[in-house]
Amino acid sequence: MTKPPSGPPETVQSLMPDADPGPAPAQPAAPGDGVTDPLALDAGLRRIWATGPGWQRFAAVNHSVVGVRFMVTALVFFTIGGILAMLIRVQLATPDSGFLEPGLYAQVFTMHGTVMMFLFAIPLFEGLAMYLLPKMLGARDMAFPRLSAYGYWCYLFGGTLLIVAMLAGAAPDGGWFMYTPLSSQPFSPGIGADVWLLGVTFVEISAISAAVEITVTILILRAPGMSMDRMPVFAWYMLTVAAMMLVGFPPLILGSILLEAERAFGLPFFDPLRGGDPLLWQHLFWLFGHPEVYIIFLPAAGALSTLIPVFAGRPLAGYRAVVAALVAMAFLSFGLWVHHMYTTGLPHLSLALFSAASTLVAVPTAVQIFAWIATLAQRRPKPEPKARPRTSVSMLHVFGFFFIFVMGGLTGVMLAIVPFDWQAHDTHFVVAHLHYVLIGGFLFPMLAAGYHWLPLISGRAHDGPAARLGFWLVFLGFNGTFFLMHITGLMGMPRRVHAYAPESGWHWLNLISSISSFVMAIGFAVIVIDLLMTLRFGRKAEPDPWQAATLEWAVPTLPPPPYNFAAFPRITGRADKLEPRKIAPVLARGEGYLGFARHGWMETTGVSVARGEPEQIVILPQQTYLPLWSGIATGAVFLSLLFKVYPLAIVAALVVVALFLRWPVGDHAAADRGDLPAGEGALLPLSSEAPVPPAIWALRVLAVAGGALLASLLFGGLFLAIAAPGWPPPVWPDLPVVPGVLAALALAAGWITSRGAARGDVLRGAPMLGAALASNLAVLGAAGWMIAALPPLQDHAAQAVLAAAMIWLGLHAAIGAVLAFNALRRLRSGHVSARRRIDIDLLRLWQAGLLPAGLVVLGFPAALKALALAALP
Amino acid sequence: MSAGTRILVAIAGGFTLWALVFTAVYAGHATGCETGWGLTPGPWGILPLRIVLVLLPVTGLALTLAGLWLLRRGAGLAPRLATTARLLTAAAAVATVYNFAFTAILPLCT
Repeated sequence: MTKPPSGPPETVQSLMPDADPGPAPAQPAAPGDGVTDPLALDAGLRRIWATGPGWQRFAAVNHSVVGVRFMVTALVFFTIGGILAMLIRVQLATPDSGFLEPGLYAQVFTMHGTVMMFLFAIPLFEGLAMYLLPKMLGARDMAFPRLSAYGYWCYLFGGTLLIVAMLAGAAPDGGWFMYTPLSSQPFSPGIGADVWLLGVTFVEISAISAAVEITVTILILRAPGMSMDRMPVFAWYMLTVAAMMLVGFPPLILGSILLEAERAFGLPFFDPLRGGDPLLWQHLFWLFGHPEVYIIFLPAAGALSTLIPVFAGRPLAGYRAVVAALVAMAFLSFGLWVHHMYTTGLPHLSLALFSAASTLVAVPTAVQIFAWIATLAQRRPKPEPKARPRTSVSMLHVFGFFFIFVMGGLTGVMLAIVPFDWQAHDTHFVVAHLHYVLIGGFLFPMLAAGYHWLPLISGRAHDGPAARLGFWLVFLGFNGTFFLMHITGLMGMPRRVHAYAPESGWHWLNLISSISSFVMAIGFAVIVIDLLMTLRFGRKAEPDPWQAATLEWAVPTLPPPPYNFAAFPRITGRADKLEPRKIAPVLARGEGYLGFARHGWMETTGVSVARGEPEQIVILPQQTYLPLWSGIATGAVFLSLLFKVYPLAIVAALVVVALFLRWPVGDHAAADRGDLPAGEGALLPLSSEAPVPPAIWALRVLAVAGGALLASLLFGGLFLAIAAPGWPPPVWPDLPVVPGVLAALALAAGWITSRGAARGDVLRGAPMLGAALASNLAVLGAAGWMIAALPPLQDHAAQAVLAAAMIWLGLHAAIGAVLAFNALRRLRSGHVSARRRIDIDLLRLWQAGLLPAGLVVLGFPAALKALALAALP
Repeated sequence: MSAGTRILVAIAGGFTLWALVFTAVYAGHATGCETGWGLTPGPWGILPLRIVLVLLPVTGLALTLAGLWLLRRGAGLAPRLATTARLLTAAAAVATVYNFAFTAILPLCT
């Protein structure tokens, strides 16, 4: 526990920048009033927030625990991916090598890319974000701790599925982008491709859940007074990244589902002989794949924007321009996907559109790089205006980032130019470029971030010279490995070849690349050993060891207690210009908002989005095994699909739904509580009684992902109608009118009845809820009727696309039915009242979104037919 | 409009328009070329498809500039957010010009 400073006690208000010295408002009594013993408060809060020992660790939902688990698991997968990379380099070290046979080599490079992209990079930054954001924003946990835990289990099980399949010799071997037709059933007949499609989709559940979690946390779980313009810049980065994930991942999820449906049931979405098109897969994959690069880069850039000012001793230069740049990057990154498809025969005008956008994205990237250089170059504020930035281990990695990422960015601009790309496409030049971007833009910044936040996470100080040795080995080894690939690529060496001829002239360059890669691997090993030694033998870290100015360093101890803060300050200025060393002891005394332990509740403040004014007390869920069981049941669904035991998959899916229905529990929501004291004179409702609780935000955010999925599906259908061969089919698969009209009416009825249930006396809303349930079931039935009326789905992509659209509709109606059933159940069990109406509001919101989306789906068949007929040659 | 919505619109509005124009131009171009719509020269020998593909970004640019004009006094946002919103909207306008100028000059369907 940090010792309180001597002298007159400071209040949390007086420590804020630009603090208003006005008189404190009169306060109603709060449970902690009068209690000033920080040790007693610490003990009380620990009892509520701590994760239990032994088997209870499987019930952990705390964001620090789950965040660290994400990061450690990601590092394990990184090690596996690294070993696979070493195998690749051994194979390519000499011409005509027989070290790996071609089929195994294909599995190795496929798994290397898959592991690094899906099992390492994304989960690592998710874990870091989960760990840091609540501390940085002034909250005790993420908005949905059980969702974090569920996401972790899905990630662990999905990743394990991929690795076990590889060890069993059934790894995917079609490249990490799984292009069709290579990955289609006739050309990849084993289960390797299914493992990829189902395993990655399983893992993506964790990505979507993390995106929802991060978005809602940043929007409403902040310290009082922390308006959006006061947020630390890392929060802006993660908010942007989460939004990108919500839009960027659904196309991949959709593509994986469609390809798996083709492989398992013969629905010909990608088969050109039956109205499909392999290019549809490329579109869907790269609609995800290119934003993915920025999804990986931006969290690392957020870490850089946070730690460079700390080591420079100056505030971030151009904060506003940096925020503008990262938002611009987010948008522009969605306009680049076709630059992976320049050689597919698109018209010149289309190529020009994507080439322009690809070069354009370099501008906001450069804005950030110049902002970081300016931060390092500008004079310090007094009293040390000429002091130089500190050269810590973190800063070494920042240097590595600048050197490598800028080179990767410049080769990216080269590849954005169509004529150059035509020459370098699918060569080792591209391999060099993507590694310069991803390792330079992600790995080096994350290593910098790791060293920066290591004292926070572990409580151990780090100052070992081995870390510097590790950096130089990695830096030199990296450049030795990948710089030479620019040259071999320009000499014509293609990607993904398992051998090359001795007379190719690539031998020595490849040999040096391979030797350098082992230097790099030794460097990583040195870093790992150094970190392990630090964790085991490092001296105890002092509070805020880097003199940082963000709230995560104001926790009472290092590592932080499970509750993060004993109380929350009121933020009155920029949240990246604080004095954590002074704030920490004040908060530890319980001075501020919610500075008490009450009823065993896990309480944190919820604020208004824009101004950060406290609006609700969010009660977070206790430790529970539910996420674990839900993850296991979800895993059973995917395994059943993988082994094609479909009845079991249906049963497991029902178990998942049943488990999810057990999530919305909590004694605090069993009765109206009214507004409760929250400290600092504030009286706030519990989240279960607040007008817009976190669950409503989550549904709004999830609707973005749902919209992206639907848009991708409709795009896919329309793309096939105008671009795929064999359209329209010989007999157009007209859908019957009656179920379509019935579905439209039922959608409207669902919307009206859900609104009716939410209006007036909700306690009398049971009939309306029952009607909403029936409406959704009617939509579900109508969707099934329409699918049943289609000709065999295997015959042509037209009916397969229509069936997919109707399945989307039926699935969403089924979710609406579950929500209506849940609201009815909660109404009957006394968990719903005029103040506690989350369950009904969730249903109302769902139906309000489903009505327009459903009508679009119902109108889609006519649009598809019209377009297909218009495109007749 | 709530304060949160105002922030969202101010910050994301410009590039949302850019994204809409991008989607419309790409989709319109592909559809026009595949269906053969607008490929018969109209008045002054200009293809109707080209007119559509030029008007879409011009409309987007006009709306983006209108948004920039509305933001000139901050639109009720905190100063730092207002500056960020202006920067983003101006960047979106530049991006629209840079990205879609080709629609006026390049061959359409080859």
